[in-house]
Amino acid sequence: MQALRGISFEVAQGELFGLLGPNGAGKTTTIKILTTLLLPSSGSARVLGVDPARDPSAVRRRIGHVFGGDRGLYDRLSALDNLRYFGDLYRVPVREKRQRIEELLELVGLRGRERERVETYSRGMRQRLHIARGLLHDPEVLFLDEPTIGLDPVGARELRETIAQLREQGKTVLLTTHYMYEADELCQRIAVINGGEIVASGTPAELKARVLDRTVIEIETFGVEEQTVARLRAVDGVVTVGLETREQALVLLVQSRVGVELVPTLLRELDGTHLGRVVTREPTLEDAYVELVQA
Amino acid sequence: MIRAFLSGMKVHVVMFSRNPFDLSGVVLWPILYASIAYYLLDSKDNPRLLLAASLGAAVMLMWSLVVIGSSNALENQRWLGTLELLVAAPVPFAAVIAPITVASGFVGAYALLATLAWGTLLFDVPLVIEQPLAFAFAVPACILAIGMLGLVMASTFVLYRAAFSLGIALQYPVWIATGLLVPLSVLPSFVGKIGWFLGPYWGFRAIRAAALGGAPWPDIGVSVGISLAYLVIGSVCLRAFVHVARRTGSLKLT
Amino acid sequence: MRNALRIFFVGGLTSYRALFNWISPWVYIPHTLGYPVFEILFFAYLGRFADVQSDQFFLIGNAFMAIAITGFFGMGSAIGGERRSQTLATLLASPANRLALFLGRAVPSILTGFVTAVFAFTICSLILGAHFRAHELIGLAAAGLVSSFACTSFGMCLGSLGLRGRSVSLFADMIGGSMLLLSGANVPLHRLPGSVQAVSNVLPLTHGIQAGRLLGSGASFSAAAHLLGLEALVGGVYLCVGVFMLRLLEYEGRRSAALETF
Repeated sequence: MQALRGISFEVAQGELFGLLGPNGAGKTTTIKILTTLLLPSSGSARVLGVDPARDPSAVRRRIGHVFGGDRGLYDRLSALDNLRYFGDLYRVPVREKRQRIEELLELVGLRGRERERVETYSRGMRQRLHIARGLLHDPEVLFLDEPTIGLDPVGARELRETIAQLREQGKTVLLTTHYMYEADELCQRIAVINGGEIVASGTPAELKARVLDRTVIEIETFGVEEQTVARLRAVDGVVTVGLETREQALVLLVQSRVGVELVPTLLRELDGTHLGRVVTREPTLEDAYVELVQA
Repeated sequence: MIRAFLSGMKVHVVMFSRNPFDLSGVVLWPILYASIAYYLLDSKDNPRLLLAASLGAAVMLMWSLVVIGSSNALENQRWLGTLELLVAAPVPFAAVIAPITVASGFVGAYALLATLAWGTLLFDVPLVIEQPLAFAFAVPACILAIGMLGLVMASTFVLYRAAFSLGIALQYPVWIATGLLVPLSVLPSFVGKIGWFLGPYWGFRAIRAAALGGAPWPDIGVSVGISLAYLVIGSVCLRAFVHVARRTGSLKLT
Repeated sequence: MRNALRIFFVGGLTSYRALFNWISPWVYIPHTLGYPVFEILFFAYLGRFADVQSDQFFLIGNAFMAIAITGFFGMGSAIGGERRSQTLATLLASPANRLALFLGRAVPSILTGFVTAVFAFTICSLILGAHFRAHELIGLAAAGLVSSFACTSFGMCLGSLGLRGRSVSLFADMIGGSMLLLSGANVPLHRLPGSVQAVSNVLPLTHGIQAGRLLGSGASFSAAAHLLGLEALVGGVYLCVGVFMLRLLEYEGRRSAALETF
């Protein structure tokens, strides 16, 4: 089974680059190859000028890897013990270790709670500890694999603030996410990956420009048939039709070219379907994303 | 690398010590076997036999902890989600895994204290160590020999799906083959020959010679030597494991 | 009654098959068979060195241990397994006969235990050169069955206790280990201190092993009858306690709406 079908991108030094795509798109596979954890079956990669498949140890010393989720820390130990251990493993010079740990705890907002066992931590705190761990050896490049996954909104926001700070510090960061607003907020450049291929890349503004000539019509329904959606897609002037579940309703996101008045036609096609609100609005990055990954 | 090893030892010993059930097991099992031996050997009226039984029971537990802990070590780290981080560390992988297996053996040192105390207090086992200096070297040598054999097991058993039950199944056979409680003199001779290749055999010989009188230093030497051999074999196997895991992407559970 | 029987057989088989979902029988069986063989040999040779009892003493004692262990754990893991797959609440809330339910799940393990014990006994007899006549073997089997019953009942109590705490399997493991000493499997009872003997006498397996040793050396059934009776009695008491505890737990669970926490 092929996870990646041929992807190619470059990240400049000091850039916060986003790899955005839905689940299963190949983001994690890409990161694993770049962080020496997976051998690619073909193609080459270069991290800081070194091939991670051929020379993993040279790469490992200079990169940091942070992944989302609950695991990856020793629960029975305190945060401090975890950091000390990984510090030793990742060859942080003894003299600098203590200070570095203190600075990082401050950075991720865990100062004062470092002596508590990780098993008492919330998911947001664990994530922040992961970031601290990833930065221990002062890596030149940091890979963040879906860092805010599973976090509550407040926790996610705090984490994004921390990541933004890294950007300010001039670190090179590769971030993968399936939250488009996150990519929009944090990244200087984004590559959209879907089905193992990169379907678009550019700055957030450039990607939004792809849909600037569009209008989005949101039609709230309470269930709609497959054939109806197909008919809508076939309507002249419709570019894409996306579906989004919002609470009890199924919302149709119809993108059409600006200037084309489609609402009457659409409503006619939807005759017989129970409808709610109908709203016309300007497109967002999310709409660009939807179009790219639905292709 | 040494720093990674020592740091790892500390981490894993602490983690083990924080589980009261594991700790009580460390004390209970050797006491159990030692008691059985005391009752059976009582009629022989040879106190030194009882001391040997105490020491043997402790080393039996050391082996159990290592074989059960090691057979599962890599799988356990994978389950904890830390395996990737350990592989990605810029130190040789063996230096990361060896502390896990050796730490299990180290915890077995608690067993030594437990059985000696139990024997002395309840069964009048004489607590006389003939060569204390050699004993002080023999115990770590034994821990190392057993722990490093654990490294070999960790790296090879990971390929075997039921590694955990293999670990359990290997307790009695190794206890028998290495003469820990049952003297090799009553067993068929081929059994002892198997023991020569096993860490616990030499480690226990060293400890017993130091405690009861004999020539412990050669046995200490062989224990250390065999540990190095295990380290080399284990490193090679681990490297192979990591290579396969990188190829198939199986370092993470999901 | 028929429903109970159905629950007994079908449920039991299903859970046994579920066991093999995560471990291949080609692996499980060799390991399960290997362990008691080496345990018997370990103690038999220790016994030879100590020169206090015959090979037969240790052979019978440790073969019975194999039966005991599966008896304990069969029940315990049946109950614990249900809790892990979170079906316990559903089961206890059903009108099914509790006993049939849990016994049904435990029986396959118990049968495995019996087969394991027989296998280990046979192999070790050959290795140690111990010989038994037909009526001695029958006597051993009978004593084994009664012991199995007693240990399973005891396992039921342990298992129900397990529902209240989390680390019961470790606790059961330790009790199982202590039986090596306390049941007289390896140390003749009269050598143990009086207080310890008192404990041994209320544990399962103790009388069963003594009966087994008597019958295994050619004694008649009448000679061993009182021991078999005692073992059956011990088993019966634990069975009642176990059933009572399960009912108590169910009642408590329903009263405090805590069945989901199981």
